[in-house]
Amino acid sequence: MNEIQRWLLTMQHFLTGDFIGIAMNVASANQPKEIRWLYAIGNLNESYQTIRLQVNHGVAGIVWKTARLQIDERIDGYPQKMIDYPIARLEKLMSVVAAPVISQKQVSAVLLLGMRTPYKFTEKELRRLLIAAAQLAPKIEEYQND
Amino acid sequence: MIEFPEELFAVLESPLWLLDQQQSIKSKSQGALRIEQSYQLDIHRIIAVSQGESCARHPEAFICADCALNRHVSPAGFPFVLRRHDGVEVEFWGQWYQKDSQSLLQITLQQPVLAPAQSMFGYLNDAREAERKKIAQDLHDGVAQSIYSLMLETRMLKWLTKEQQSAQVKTIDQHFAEILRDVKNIAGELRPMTLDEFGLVPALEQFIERTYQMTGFEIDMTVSRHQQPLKESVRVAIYRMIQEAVTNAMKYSGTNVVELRLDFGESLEVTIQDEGIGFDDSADKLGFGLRNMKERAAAIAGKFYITSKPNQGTTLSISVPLIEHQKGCKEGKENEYLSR
Repeated sequence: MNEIQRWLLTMQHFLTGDFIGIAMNVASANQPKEIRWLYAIGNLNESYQTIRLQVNHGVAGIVWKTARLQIDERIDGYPQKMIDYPIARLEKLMSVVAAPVISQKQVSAVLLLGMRTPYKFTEKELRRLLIAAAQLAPKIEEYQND
Repeated sequence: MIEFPEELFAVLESPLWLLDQQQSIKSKSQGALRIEQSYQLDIHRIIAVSQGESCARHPEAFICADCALNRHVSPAGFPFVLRRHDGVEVEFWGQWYQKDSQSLLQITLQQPVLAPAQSMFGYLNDAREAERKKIAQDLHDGVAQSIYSLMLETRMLKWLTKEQQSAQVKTIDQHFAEILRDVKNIAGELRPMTLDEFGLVPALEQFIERTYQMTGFEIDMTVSRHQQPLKESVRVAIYRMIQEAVTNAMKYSGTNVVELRLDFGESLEVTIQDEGIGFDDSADKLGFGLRNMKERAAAIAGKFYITSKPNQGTTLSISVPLIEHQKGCKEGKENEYLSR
């Protein structure tokens, strides 16, 4: 278990949600980005690891592109979102919020909090997610430098 | 503002609120009462939205900092979302008028832009528009944005030292590779080259690989007996029907895998099967999407069947006679496709 996995386990009480995931770019340097969900807790199975996203595709790809918090609390009842957000389909998420993890002014990872029932995130929960994303940034940098 | 007897105001069907200078409600219409009963409503927040003081989409100011809607609304017409007591969010259109010491708030339910199609023509029209919208979005949000970023990165070069330039050129090179991949993906989604160059099965293999990579959705394909050449119209129709069946399974089945079987005999038998939540397959419940698949099959002298029951999965079968198509391939101009 590496540092990021250990950190994620400590987060499950701070970030209360059904699913928490971290997506990162796995492409080698100077290659087109390939974003994958590498770490998760509360996952239903391991299928999330098969998703490969590009910038602007999927929740993580959109966060990567915009470098901003993305919230979608209306996934249920919109079947097209099962195509647009593979992680929501595989993990049966109905409400998601995802924050960029910023290192050296660039997105280095995406931290996602998901619920399996229709849910409206509170301001406190969103602030906590942003705090967690800021905490995660140095760990991602450390991991990438290893 | 015209003085309006309150008892008359109360019988109006349209949702209207009359407020005084302190923004206290003086009177409300029957329609307004109905809205208050069904939705979680804060009149003052709606007025704040009309003034650009609060965002219709992001109630929390810190998320809204860069929102395009913020401060760009007009009291004469502004969108906002209300939540029903059961939690479902519904879009409304508001109008707020103020004169002297009184103000009037009127709200209207927004009709969905794409109401469900009422006819096959409407369905096909909507599908075409949805596809165009997706291409436009991919070009605008993807390719155009990336080219713009590249333009800035390139312009920046002249301000950098020789050492910094080398790193910047590498980044620019990487971003060029990403744009190239995006453009190829858009082209591939529109019409896979493999389908024309190598035929149905290789195109399906590529589709299966791409679907798995992008979404994690598995398509377990089996091809039995000897593959036979297909006319272009047949290849395209079958490819599109399989594509639509897989998309439907991803959207509605609740499972993560479908089985796809192709059996080349006297006829080509295609079966797409999932073990998902299924649905009632009685004819009157079939949507236009499935009816369209039926018509696509008929257009290539084929047949299309669907069997599904709630909680018992869904099976789609397409049967296309091959002998007639082979004759057509040999006799006609489409002979060239025999090798594909």
